Parts: sequence; structure tokens; C-alpha cells
Amino acid sequence: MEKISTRWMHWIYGAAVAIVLFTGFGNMPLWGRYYIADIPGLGWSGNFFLNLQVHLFMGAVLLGLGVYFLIVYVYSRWDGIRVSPSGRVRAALLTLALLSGLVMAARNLHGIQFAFEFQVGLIFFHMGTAMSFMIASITCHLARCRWVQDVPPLSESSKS
Amino acid sequence: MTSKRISRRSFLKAGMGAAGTVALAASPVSATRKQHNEDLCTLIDIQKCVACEACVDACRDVNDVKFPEPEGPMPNMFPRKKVRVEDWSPEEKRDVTDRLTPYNWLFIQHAEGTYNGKSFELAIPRRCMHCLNPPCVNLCPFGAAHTLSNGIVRIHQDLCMGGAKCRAVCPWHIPQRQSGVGLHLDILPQYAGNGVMFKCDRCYDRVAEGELPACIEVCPEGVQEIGPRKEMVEKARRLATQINGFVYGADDNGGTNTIYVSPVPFGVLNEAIVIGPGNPHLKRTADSMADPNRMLAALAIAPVAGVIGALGRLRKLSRQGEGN
Repeated sequence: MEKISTRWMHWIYGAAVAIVLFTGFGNMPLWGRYYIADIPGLGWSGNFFLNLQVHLFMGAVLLGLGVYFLIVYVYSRWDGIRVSPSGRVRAALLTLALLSGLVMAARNLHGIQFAFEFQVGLIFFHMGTAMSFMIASITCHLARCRWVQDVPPLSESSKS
Repeated sequence: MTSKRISRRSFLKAGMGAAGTVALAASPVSATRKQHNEDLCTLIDIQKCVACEACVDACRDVNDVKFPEPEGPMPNMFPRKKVRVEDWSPEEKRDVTDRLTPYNWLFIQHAEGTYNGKSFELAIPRRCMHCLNPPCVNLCPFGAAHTLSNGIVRIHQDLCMGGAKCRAVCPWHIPQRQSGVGLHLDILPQYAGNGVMFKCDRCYDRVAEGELPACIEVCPEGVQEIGPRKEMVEKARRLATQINGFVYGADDNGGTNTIYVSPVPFGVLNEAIVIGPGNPHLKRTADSMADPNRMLAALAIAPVAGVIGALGRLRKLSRQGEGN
């Protein structure tokens, strides 16, 4: 595992997931209504533009980490590291949430408009995959499921 | 509240309204018919407006079928201190025409003052600006606000939860809420949502049929024109040059599909109008999507940073492998 990730990356990933989910819920007008934005230090969460900026930035952090892990993982497969089944579920949901989020972010640019049905479908797809990822992550965290599992290294199995 | 006294204004209104009705019946084939899939823009020459409110009445008549009809008592919202019920359905509130409400999507704003030593009295039709890159559309969490291919920004009543985020992010705070209606009543009426947001939809249904928006068609003074945006912006700038006047909306909030031309600077007008809930300002407005869109750079850089980081990691692992 230490081949793929370092401790500080682990914490950055955890913080980015927590903040991106928090700001995702904040994109619905919830935090102002339910006093979260009144908590000292969280006033920014009631500002929809600021909330969106933080959401996009944390999405970028997850995207960067995702690309990093993908490349290092492909290399590490030769040393017997495999994504666990629960890791595959989380990776798939996070990838779908990130990709749909990218399309939604592109919609914010001048001159980009989507058909109404596509726009609504995209938003609910993004919310659905993100919430499923949140549930999967919490479940895996509580059940102490690891992202990766060790199997005999490909290099050794090819020698035998 | 609407004044019922007989005045020069109400006399003009009655006369102009009648004239407008005739104009409505006899209007030629609309200029909008050939303009689908192009951004339609309105040009409002405010020096022509006589505040007859024919446009206000026509808007209310034509869009009456879209107005909310709450059934039963208003939900007991939670938390009560934070979530205010906004009920414009009682008869006396429905009749309000001097501000934006869920039942009044267009109103006439009045400005009186002096500019360059001369007094002025101007009437300004106010409604949704139909922004080119509308924050209400971009930030609506359920996709209820949507930009049509012809640039019209509309809120789908069947999907809106009435959270009023669109009003909060709109630079002019245009959309108005009616509580006690909409989808949220079927989900968590007390705990999520609070009605439906309403605003000018530029008579999208009439435009789709090749007709003019009612406010434009009925206006006896020809205050508003509608056409392709490029053409309307050029015309607005020409008109402003001719009258030594000023343009508003061409660049505000990144550009809108509602362009005002005035003989008085909009900064002066902004000081002369009543500003408050349902009474939008006329300040110069920066592009509200500019800051969030700066974060797109982070999204573009992120994969590159990931590749660089991964290559660095692999190099380190490779060196460690050689060392062992």
C-alpha cells in the first residue's frame, strides 16, 4: 500500500472527500437554513458562489489524486497490489461523480447550454453517484475495508 | 400596493391599454418567427416609456395560466425562524403591480431627479434580464432553471423546490417565491424547499409559436424591440450615441439579453429609484460567474499535476528498487 499512497496523501484525500461532500450538500440551500453557516468559521458555506468555488477546487484535488493513483496503481500491479472489490465500487462511483461534475462545471462557461432533459439528468446523476460514493465510503470506513489487497506479485507468478 | 386613484397616469394607462389591445389584435406576423436558436435580445428605450403599464397588464393577462394557485394552508416551515413563508396569493397581494411578485413579472420603476442641471422623470420597465450566462441556471441545484436555445431563461415550475437560491445569486434578485405550491409539498414540505420561484419567461410559449412577448406586442409607444442580440446591441449603441445617452445590460453580469438605453447615466438613475425586495437596482454589475469559473483552471491543471506527481513517485520507487 505504501507504494501507492503516503500518509499525507491519505489525509488530503480524506479532507477533500469530506469538503467536496459538505459543499455538495451546501449547493442545495441547506446550510443557511439549518444554522450550519452560523457556526463560527463556516459562514462561507452559506455563500453560494464561495461554496461552489470550494466544491470545484476540492473536485480538482480529487481529480489530480485520481490520475496520480491510477498511474501508480497500474505500475504497482506488477508488485502484487490489487484494488479490492469495495475499492472498485468506490473508485467507479467517484469516477462517475467526477466526470459528471466536470461536464456540469463546463456548463458554467459562457455559450455552453444543455437541453433541459440532459441538464436535469446530469444533475441527478451527479448527485446520485456522489451520494452513493458517500454511503460506500462511510460503510467501508466503518467496516475497515481497505482500498487495495495484496496478491502474489505478477513478477513472481511469471517466474514460477 | 397599486394605487386606485384617478390620475394622469391611470388615464394614460386606460387609453394606452385600449390602444394596445387594438395593436395586439392587429399585430403583424412576428419578427421572432425566424429567430429560433438565436439569442433573442430586447432593446428598451426608456425615454419612450410613458408608464401606462399596458405591458404590465398584458404580462399578467397572458401569463395568468402560469400563476401559482396554492391549495390549503401554508406549510408550517422548519425552522420557522429561518424559513419565511412568502404568500402572495391573497387577492390584495396578487394585485400588487409596483414591484416584482410571483403574480407580477414586470413592473415600471420610476426615477426622478436632475442630471446636468436638468430635471428628468423616467419610467423603466423592469423584469428578468435573461443573462447570457445566468447564475440562476448555473447554480440551481435541481436544474429547474434553464436557458432555452433562443436565450430565454425560464424556471420550470414542476421541478422548482422554491429554495430561492436563484434569487440569492441573481445580481438583481429577480425571481420571486410563492410558498405552499410545487414539488416540495410531495417530498418534505416542512424540511426542504419552500414553494416555487417565478419570474418573466419572456413568453417563451408565444415566442415558440412565432409571436411576440405580450409586453412588446402591446406597448403603444414601441418602447421595446426584440431581435438577434448582435443586432440589438449595435442598435442600442447607435441610439445611445445619437441621444448622447447610456447603455445598460450589454456587458453587465457578463452580458444580458435585455439592453436599456437611457439619456441619463444609470448610476444617476440607480440613485433615483426605489431599491429593495422586488425592486432591482441599476448598478453596474460584474460577471457573477467569473470567480467560480476561475476554478475551472484548477480542474484543467489537476490531471497534469496528477501525472507529474505519479511520475515523480514512480521514479522514487524505481531508485529505491535499484538501491535494494
